[in-house]
Amino acid sequence: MRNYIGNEITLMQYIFLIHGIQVGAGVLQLPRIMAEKVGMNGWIPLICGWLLSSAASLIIIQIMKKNPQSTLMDLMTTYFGKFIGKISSILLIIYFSIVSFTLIQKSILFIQVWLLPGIPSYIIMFLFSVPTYIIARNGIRIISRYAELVFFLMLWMPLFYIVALNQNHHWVHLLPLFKNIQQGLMATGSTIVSFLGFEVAFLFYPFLKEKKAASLGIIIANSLSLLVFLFVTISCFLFFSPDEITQYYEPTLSMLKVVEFRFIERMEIIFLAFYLFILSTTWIPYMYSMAFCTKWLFNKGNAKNYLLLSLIFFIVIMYFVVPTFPGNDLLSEFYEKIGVIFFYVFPVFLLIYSFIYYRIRGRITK
Amino acid sequence: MKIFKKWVKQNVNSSSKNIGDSEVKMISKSLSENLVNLYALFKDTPDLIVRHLEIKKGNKQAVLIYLSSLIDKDLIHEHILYPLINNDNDTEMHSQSVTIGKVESSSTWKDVELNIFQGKSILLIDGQTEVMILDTPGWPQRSIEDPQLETSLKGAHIGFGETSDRNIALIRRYIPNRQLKITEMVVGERSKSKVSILYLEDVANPELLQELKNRIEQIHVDFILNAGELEQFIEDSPYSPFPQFISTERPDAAASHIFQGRMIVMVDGASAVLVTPVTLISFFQNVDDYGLRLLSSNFIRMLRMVSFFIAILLPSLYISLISFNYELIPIKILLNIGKYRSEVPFPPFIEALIMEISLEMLREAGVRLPAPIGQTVGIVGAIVIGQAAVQAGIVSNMMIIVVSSTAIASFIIPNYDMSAAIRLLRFPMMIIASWFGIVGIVIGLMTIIGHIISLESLGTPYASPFAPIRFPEWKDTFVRFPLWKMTKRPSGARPIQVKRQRTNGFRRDEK
Amino acid sequence: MKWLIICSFLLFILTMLSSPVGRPLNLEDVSFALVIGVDLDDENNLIFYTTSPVFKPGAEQENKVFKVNAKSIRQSREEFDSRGTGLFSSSKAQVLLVGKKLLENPRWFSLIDVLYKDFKTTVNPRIVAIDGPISNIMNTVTENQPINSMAVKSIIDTSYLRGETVKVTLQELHRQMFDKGLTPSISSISTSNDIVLTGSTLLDEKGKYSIELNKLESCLLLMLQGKKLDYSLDIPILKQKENNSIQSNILSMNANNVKIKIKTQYINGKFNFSIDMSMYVMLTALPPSYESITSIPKLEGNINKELQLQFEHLIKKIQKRKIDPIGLGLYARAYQNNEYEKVKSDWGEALKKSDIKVSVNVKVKTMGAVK
Repeated sequence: MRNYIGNEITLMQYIFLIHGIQVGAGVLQLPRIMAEKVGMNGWIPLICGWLLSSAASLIIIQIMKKNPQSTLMDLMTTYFGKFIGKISSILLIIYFSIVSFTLIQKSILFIQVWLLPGIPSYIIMFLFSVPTYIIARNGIRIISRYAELVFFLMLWMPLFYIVALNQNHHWVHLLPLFKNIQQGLMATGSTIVSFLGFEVAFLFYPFLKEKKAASLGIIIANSLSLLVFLFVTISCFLFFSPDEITQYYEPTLSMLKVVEFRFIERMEIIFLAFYLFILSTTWIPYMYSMAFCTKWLFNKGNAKNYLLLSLIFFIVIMYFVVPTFPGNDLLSEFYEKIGVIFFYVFPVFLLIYSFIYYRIRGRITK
Repeated sequence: MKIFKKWVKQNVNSSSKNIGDSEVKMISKSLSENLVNLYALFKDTPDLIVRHLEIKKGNKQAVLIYLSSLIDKDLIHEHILYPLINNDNDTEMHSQSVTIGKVESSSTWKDVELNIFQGKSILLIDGQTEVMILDTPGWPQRSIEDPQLETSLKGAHIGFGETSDRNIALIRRYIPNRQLKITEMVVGERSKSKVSILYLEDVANPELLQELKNRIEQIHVDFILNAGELEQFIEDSPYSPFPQFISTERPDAAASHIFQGRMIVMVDGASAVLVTPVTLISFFQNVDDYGLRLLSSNFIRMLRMVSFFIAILLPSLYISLISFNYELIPIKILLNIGKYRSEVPFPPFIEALIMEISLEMLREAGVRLPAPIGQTVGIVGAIVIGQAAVQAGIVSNMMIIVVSSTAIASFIIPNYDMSAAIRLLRFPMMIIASWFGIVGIVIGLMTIIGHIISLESLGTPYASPFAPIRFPEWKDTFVRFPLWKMTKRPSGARPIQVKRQRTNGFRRDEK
Repeated sequence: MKWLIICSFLLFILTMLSSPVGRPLNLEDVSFALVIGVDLDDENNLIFYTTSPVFKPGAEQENKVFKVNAKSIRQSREEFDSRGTGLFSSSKAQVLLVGKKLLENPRWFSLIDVLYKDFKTTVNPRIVAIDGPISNIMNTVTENQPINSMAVKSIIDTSYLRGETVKVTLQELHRQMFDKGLTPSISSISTSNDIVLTGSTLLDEKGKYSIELNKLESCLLLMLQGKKLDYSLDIPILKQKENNSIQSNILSMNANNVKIKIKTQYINGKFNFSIDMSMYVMLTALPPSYESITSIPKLEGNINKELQLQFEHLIKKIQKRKIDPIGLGLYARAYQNNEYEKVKSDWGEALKKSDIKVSVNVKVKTMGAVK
């Protein structure tokens, strides 16, 4: 069993780490997707998604509780043997690398089209790599500190929405409240991927100092993300008419275009630039997870070297393959499917297996 | 060839050895032999006084050795020579006749050498293998003055001197407590500087103390001139722009840090002391904050926080707004700016760089100039050169305002090291803003934040109480809560005794 | 490891220097199109106008006006680029002027689609329908200094504060066009003799010109939309017409704190809207022949009656033309969703058939400083 003590994170850092991963680039397009699928009752699938993701997170915590000092890969090794353990780490590496690549690419695309039109993607990738490396090379402690700090630094963002809403809000857009319940429930499939992010609990549960509060913590993280999603979705629904919201690709950003003050205009530029902080708390933990799993797999070397290598690798890829929104959407669909299978479906089986395993073990030792 | 080189090396090495280093170590009984050794050790030292005398009691021959530049002559004449030569009382111990406070004895030449250079006098008595080391320091010192870099309005107007004894005395005046302990170490092969660590034993964390001692013990250099050099040897990240020790010249500031559980490192010969472990916020706190009234000090504190951001961000914001994101500026201001920009040939980045570098040169030159010229040049530099530059069309009016506001903001930071760091950080921010606009500024901020939160000062987190967020400690960060509410010590220094006061005063009933 | 980092860093810097990093567009090379105008000329060709300030060293500022024939705003920008000194950018546009003739063509909205699609543009320019030649406005605007090239925007904004016209930005227009339960309304200015704000212009659901409203009717429309402003109303209170040139039947008042409640029902195959309005008024001018007010309730009753008549007049006007600038369709969709879904595609027709009742409740706050 490897030793993970000495690199500990507090409960609040754990909460904000998970919450930071969940709130990211998805928020920008979320209201449109909800409106397309469910119309003005788009808040229903959000709440259902929250319920499902909280359930999945709790299942994961239950699994991890049995062996408090192991990560997922250690667990698989214990239950199934070394070979399966290594396979699981390879799968995790592939998953995390696809996810982080997709997320960074999406952020780069947003920055490119809204803020920096002329600059090639690989340069922006390099720009992002600098703080990523500085923050992620020191391990999960610094990453969680960063997530915690960013949460408090960005608390002023909802104010912008309130200013925009002040100009133009129509509560009647939300009525009738329960028209499309069935469609809403069906659309939960899209929202559960927004809540993906809690899977890092599989890896970083051993680092948590107060393990007893892990379940509570993860529920709080999910609920915070739900609040953010609801706020954004409902603000957009209030602001845009139901017939026009599907016309906007990123209603969250387009809504802020109307915010103007006497001394500064075009607030959506400032908003998007600072939103980069929130986007960064999404991909930095994923990149570190990838490096962490790689280190676990090879059992030597430093996680930060693997991190550096993967960053350079991403830059090189982006030099040759220029990112586009449609391409990125394809990648997203792919990783969403894998994510749902890995982290919503698989933990259930793992939990059942762990019960059986310990029951059998108990019987053998008797 | 190789053998030849080796032989040459050996010879050179052996001839460069001092006689005193290896051969004769112990004091011998014979006075003349000792004198021969003495003169061999201290060649070419005209200020070494060797005073032969005859002790009245017992009629023994003795020699008093001291360096005349380092001792207090009155002490020597009246309290050593006079009693020894004249006193005829009944005691056998010569140490009783000498009316000096601190008397030690030793029998090695090494100690003799060490102590002579510390201003002590050595009494060699014929027939005894032990010498008496008498404490008679009296080297030139300056009087107690107001420290130049850290002036305060309401605090005390005393500053540390260059003698660690006096500095310790000043601190003891603030902390007349048995728990104030001093650990002494010696650093530097040739300089043999005395390094003292002061701390409160029941408050400071023993692990941190041990860590500090380890780090200092592992320094092997020729000499340490001042505390700044010591700092660079024991810091966690010497390559970081941010200082990880506070260097202060004020005893009251040092005492208040000790009370918070920090440790003071004092170097003999330096007038500044180092405080460790520190957090980012402690660089923005000043002794005055606590002496002024609540509302005024909070106003000044917030002004400092704002000026921190202005000093780093203002030039880069200007550059990015003008060259990249001009849509952010409302139309009226934009038209004005457009008018200015059409008169200036340089792109905003070059303009900003010219002005910033000129300002830095002016500032550095101002430090070197003597006072009367310095004042005139300051005014001349600021007004005339700035105005002339605008008229010549090199820079625009807006730029002058930006640059001067930045300079003023960076001088508000109380600690010199921190303001130097901030001035330095401006330049990479300007570069990245000129390439990438506001996104560049955000990335720059991200990098700075990432660096600060991973920085450690003696193993404790530098950005506490922001990085591991601890809400109760925000009582002394952006604003200062009333003194009677700050009941716990900040955890940045990991003190082992946390509670420092009760909610007290006649306001006990008001919570 | 260190060498790898250093080498890749250097290689990277080299590639970066060859890219467009570090060479942004200079401020003085950009021409900001502050006013954009679109109209049809006599031969039904599209003309585009724009005015932009010219940055010149020295105190003189200049505004240049450009007029080109083009097929779309995008193409007009190319034409402007070839005529002006800078690169045209509409990210700081203050107003969008549309000629009345152009409004009669229902396709005009597709012309400005580009202003929505481009990320860098702003959605805050006010839309104004111009009655008369646009060139009148453009030329007047250039005589004055930059502050007044935003004259049109100021006219709209300040009149809106009194409720004399609607204020519609591009964002708001987009919402009004796309929402099936609402038809657009924009401000209107006439330029035939002098630049004068005339009120509002209403469009039908396709965007085609429908009818004009004068200032009083615009005021009533804004009240029905529920906008909280300081309205100044002048309503005729007495019926008789005198021969005196000084009209004596106008009651002027300032109305604020307007609250509106709309109840939606579906009875007998048609929609039933009952609108309850309450407001506080301050009297500012009484007709000279009005007897000294005996009782406040009587005065309030008179005002209520008169306002109700005015509202009914306005509503009949819009019902006749099958348009819905008030947005009653939103209420229908919210409260009577099933019925609304059936008639969604032709809401104007359903509105024409529906019953709309307005009841006004006025409270007099003060009668002014003197009797």
